[in-house]
Amino acid sequence: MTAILEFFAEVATILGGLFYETDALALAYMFIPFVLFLELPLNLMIWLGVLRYYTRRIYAVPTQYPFTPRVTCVVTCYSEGDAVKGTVRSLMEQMYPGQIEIIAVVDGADQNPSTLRALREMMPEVEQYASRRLVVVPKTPRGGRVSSLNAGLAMARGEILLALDADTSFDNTMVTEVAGHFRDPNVIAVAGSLRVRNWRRNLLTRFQSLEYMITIHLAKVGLGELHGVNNISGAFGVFRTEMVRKIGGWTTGSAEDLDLTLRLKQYFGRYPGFRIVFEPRAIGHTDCPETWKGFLMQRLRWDGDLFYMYMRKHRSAFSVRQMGFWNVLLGVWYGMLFQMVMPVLIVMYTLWLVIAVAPAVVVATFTIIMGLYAVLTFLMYITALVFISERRSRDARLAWLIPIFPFFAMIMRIWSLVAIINEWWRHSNQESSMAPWWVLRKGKR
Amino acid sequence: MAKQQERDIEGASRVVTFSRRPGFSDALGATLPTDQFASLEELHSEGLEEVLEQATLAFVVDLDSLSGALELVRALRRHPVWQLRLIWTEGDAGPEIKALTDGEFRTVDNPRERIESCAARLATANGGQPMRSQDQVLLSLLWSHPSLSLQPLRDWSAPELYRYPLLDALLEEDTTEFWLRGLKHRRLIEGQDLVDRVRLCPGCRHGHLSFVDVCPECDSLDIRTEPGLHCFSCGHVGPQRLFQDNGMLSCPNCSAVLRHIGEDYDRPLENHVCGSCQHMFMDGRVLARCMACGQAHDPNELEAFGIYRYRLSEAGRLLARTGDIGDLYGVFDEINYVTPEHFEFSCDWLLKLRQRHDEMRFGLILLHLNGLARVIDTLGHSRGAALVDAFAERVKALVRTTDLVTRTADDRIWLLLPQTSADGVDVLAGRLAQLMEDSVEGTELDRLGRVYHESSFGMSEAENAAAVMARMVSLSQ
Repeated sequence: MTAILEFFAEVATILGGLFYETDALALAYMFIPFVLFLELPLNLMIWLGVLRYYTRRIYAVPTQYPFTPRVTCVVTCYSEGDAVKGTVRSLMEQMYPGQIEIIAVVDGADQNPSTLRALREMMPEVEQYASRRLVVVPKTPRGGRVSSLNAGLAMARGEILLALDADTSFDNTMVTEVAGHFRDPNVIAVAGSLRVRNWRRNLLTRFQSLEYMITIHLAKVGLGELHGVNNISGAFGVFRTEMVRKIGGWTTGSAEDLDLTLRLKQYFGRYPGFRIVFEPRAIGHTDCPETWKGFLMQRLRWDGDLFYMYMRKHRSAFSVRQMGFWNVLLGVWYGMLFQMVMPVLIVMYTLWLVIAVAPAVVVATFTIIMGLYAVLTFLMYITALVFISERRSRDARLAWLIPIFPFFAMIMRIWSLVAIINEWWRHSNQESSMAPWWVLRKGKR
Repeated sequence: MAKQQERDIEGASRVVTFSRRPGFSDALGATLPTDQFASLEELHSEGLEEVLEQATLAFVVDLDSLSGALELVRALRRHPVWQLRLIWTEGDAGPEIKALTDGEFRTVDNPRERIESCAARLATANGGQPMRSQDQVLLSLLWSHPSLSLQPLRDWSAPELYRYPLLDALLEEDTTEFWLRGLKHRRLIEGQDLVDRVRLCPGCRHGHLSFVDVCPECDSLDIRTEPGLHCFSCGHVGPQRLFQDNGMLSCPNCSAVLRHIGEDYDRPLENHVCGSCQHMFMDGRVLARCMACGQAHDPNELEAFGIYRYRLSEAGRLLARTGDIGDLYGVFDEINYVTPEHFEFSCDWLLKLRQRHDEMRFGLILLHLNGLARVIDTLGHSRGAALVDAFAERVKALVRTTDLVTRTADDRIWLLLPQTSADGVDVLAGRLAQLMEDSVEGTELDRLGRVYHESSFGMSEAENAAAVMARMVSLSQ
């Protein structure tokens, strides 16, 4: 008992000695370079982007252009069952004055009769909406999400193509917000913003909701403003149909969304005017994993795929000639250094710290680091809440999570390293459950 | 030749066929003597009408060869002599002809026997008396033709949407509607099976109704469907166009931005809008507008009217056999008769008198002659009538000159006995009951009717004459 008390007293002394020259401070300084060179500049850039976005928006003259091209929504369905009704209904409810064609592709229709039935039940409801059309495509052999998307692409008649997940529903202004961007012929794709629908379920979903809000949504607003959208989410991506047809649709393999983004970006070197826009006001609501196991498996896939895309499949794309200088810089910095090198550095540093330094010093160092991260999180949170959020009262209810959010972020960093190692050694992208093995085998390794 | 034929025909069973096909009557294979005509006019022009009227006839109508078969059948059913005869058909009969005739000739096994049994029944129908009213004709017809019933026929031009061809053919006075209602009211016919149930305008009893939905607030016809929205934050419900705000949806009541269906708003069940008062509602009020008189009614107010196929009831069958016995009761009207209103007034007066003078007492006797019909049925009309006459004579002997007599229904005879003690009433009632039994002695019947009596001691002060009489009537039922 006394030993524990003495230990905490020691930690307090070290923390108290922060304002003098001590070992802990020196070690914290060692940590700060990562913060300074990798994290802080990135956050600064994001802040600048957000400010630019905000000022541009508040000074914008509200205009409505008579630009309402036909829109095709390809909804990839699998075993969602009755949940697809909500998705289809939210698409029919769009305020968009133009035509919306909804192509619901049911992958493995024989295994998922309830999904198919739910879609067919929607047919009479669709007839009540003018200029909305529902096409149900039962795809009997299972071919994975990519094959569903390509089937939808083949049938699409719209000028704009929305690739959507069946478990994601949308705000009714979504199509209006995204379609407007295509007025600019240089815009080849628009990334939509996702919110967590089941955030109320438990602590994990609340954490993920906060993460979506800060590190995904806010970062995308900032980077998108600076022409640096890193990924167009697979659950909610908007493309110029002609462009997707030209590059041959989606290719086999997991992380087809990142793959398509990177392939689109390879046009940027030759066509410097091309742009991928992030639209924060186009909101989709998706369900995130509710169990730790599900969550960790999802992240193992995401981070592993990131490594696979950047280091293996599209390694050669990162050249100035292919992507242009700015996209290579952002890709290397944000994609590689921030998302792949940082986890390695942080974990190695932590291990070294635990081995080399006294436990009290370790605890004190971590307290400082977590404190710093909490402050950073708070600033980002306030920025998102004030400048971006369209549902402020709902987002305000996540504020109490900020002090513990850095721990969650730390776990994710460590897990990223696991994912990278897993992918490096085991080629885990071949084990994806998103498509059958005979389809995955055809992909580039 | 005519004389010879006349003698042959008289009283014998014959079949008259109507057909344009030569040799039709021979092809029928009937074992009876047959005559063939192309139409009623031909029969008439050959001067055989009066001759054939003497015979026991049945008709066979060849529907396939005659163009005016329906008119012919109707004319036969209206014919003063032949309207009660059997009419069979040959060929494809429409619903109206089926309702008027006795069915297909081929299905009859023994035509002669059928013709004779029908004629025998007709001979005894109506107590052997000639038929005077349309009721008697109809009841005799239904009684003597077991295969006939009052069959309704769907007809869009009929006010009640259905009509009864047999009633149309036999109708002499009144309208078929009131005739049928009278028959039902007197329980002479009863529903055999329910064919349909129609709704009639309570104003004019027409079945031609137009159902329209109108605004429940202002009854305007001008309603339309329009997509509506229901705001979750304030509960406001309104047409979608009022929510539209620069490419977004916002509630006109609480100005909340409605972003996602199921989360911020949903589609209300109210999707009708009134064009004149802008009221939003779920289901319009339905009005039934009569196309005949133009009145609009709530559908619940409509008169539900069952369309039945009718057959003779027990009472109807009895009446068809015995004839109208209503006139037999007339003999009672000669005994100190007063009108029912006068009778009731007198009884009331006696009741009031009793309140003032305790010594006032009187009695009330009800003779219910419910056995009379059965008496006529078993003994025949003339013997029955004589029996009733004798009974009436003996009642007359018992009644004092100060007693009042009235008759409410056909068979309910009332006696008001002033200044009679309770014992006196009992004695008189006992004698009358004895008389009821004595008068039918020697027959297999047990009594002519029942006697119910009430002395003024048994009446409370609160009761009036109508109440007392109603009480006694309910005893007799």
